Amino acid sequence: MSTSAEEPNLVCSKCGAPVQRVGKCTGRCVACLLELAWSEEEIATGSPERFDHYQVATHLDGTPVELGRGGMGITFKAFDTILGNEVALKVINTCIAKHPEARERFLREARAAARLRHPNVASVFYYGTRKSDGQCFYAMELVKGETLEARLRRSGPLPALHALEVIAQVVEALIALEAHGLVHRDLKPSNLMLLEGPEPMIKVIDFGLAKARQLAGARATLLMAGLSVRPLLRARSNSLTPRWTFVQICIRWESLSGSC
Amino acid sequence: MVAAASGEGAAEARAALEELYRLYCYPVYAFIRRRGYGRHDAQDLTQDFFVHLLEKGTVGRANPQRGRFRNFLLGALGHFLANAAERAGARKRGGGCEWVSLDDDATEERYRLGAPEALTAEKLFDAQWAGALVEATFVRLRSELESEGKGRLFEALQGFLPGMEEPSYQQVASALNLSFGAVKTAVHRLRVRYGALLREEVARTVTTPSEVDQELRYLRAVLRT
Repeated sequence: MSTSAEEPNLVCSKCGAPVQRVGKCTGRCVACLLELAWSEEEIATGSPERFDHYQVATHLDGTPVELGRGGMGITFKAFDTILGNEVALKVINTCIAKHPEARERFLREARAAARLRHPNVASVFYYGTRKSDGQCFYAMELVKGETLEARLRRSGPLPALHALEVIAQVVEALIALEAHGLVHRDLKPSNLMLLEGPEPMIKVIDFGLAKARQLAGARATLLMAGLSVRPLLRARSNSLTPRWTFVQICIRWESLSGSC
Repeated sequence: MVAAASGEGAAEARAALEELYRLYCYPVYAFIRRRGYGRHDAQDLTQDFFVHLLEKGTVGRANPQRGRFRNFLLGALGHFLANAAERAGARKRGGGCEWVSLDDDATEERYRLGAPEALTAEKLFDAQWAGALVEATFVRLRSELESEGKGRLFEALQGFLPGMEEPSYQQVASALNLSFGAVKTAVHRLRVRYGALLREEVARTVTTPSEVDQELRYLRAVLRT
């Protein structure tokens, strides 16, 4: 938990967390030592909070820290016990996990996000299946901030210049997606993370409905940057281009600024 | 232990309270320090608190049905500090117990190194409580192995419990004149035994066995925060 000025680099060999001094036993990771109360098998596969080497963060009452919830699954805050950093861990909904097509879609979502690296797109870097119960999950960059939806609800429309900046960044992200042959198809304020900081910085998250553009279905629903979640457009795949995206964002401009 | 400490006036109550002090004096000290007391005042108040527990029979009022001992002790400590001035004389009497003095630099050094600024006094107490449980488990494990004539084995293998730097199985095998497989087996047994002893330590502070996992998860969450 802490290190001293004299011992700045003490980290646990197991989880990578800074090591706490415990009495005469200097250099012990108390959290990992507590985990020895469970069997290795329980920790590796059986714990409901463990997915491979990712440990889901819990509140003080033991309940998992949930970052978001959608049709495909739940996103938790988690800890990479190998690299020692925090991640966002999306776990497929157990109700739909038994359906092969749902699992395929979940994998497609992860692949879609993992295919590109862009400052305005949350990176996905690991996909796995838990051995004990076959539950699928993927790890992605933990974006610290709040969704645009939460921000708008909390304090109303963004200042006009910030709103413009947000739109510009979203368009940048969508152009990057387009360049990789991807369409998000579920763009809405709750899927846009506004990072902490004085300047607006947006990250697109949740690729649950993303498809490779050439495979996009004719009945795809495009949910764009509206405050309310509603279908704005039913379009054929060849209509799902950044141009359409830009048009839709402009249409919902008032959602951001309240000034048009 | 808690039940024994509840027995009014009995010698075993004093002995149990001394054990409580030995196990949990540091979480109490850290809590008091975080509440803003200086190191010397905190040392005195820590001892006063345990004397107060004995003299007033406070531990005897701990109802196992009403929560965990950690919470009880934290609550009692809060009340104690609220009336700290009235307690000034308790330390001088000593309560008939033989306290291990906290008056050394190591305690303060430990506080300085192991008390993150961001933690509240309550969370710091809980984090240090977890540390105390781990420490008590280490002591028991070491004692157990020493009594079996395996003290040297414990010294060689304790590094395989999660910590800073895991030693090499091969090096340890060579040092102990054991096979690689024997060392791996011994490490596995050590970890399993450690886990069992830790569960016993936690079980002493909660009401029912089913609360052990809950308490462990809570403490882990405090440490991972």
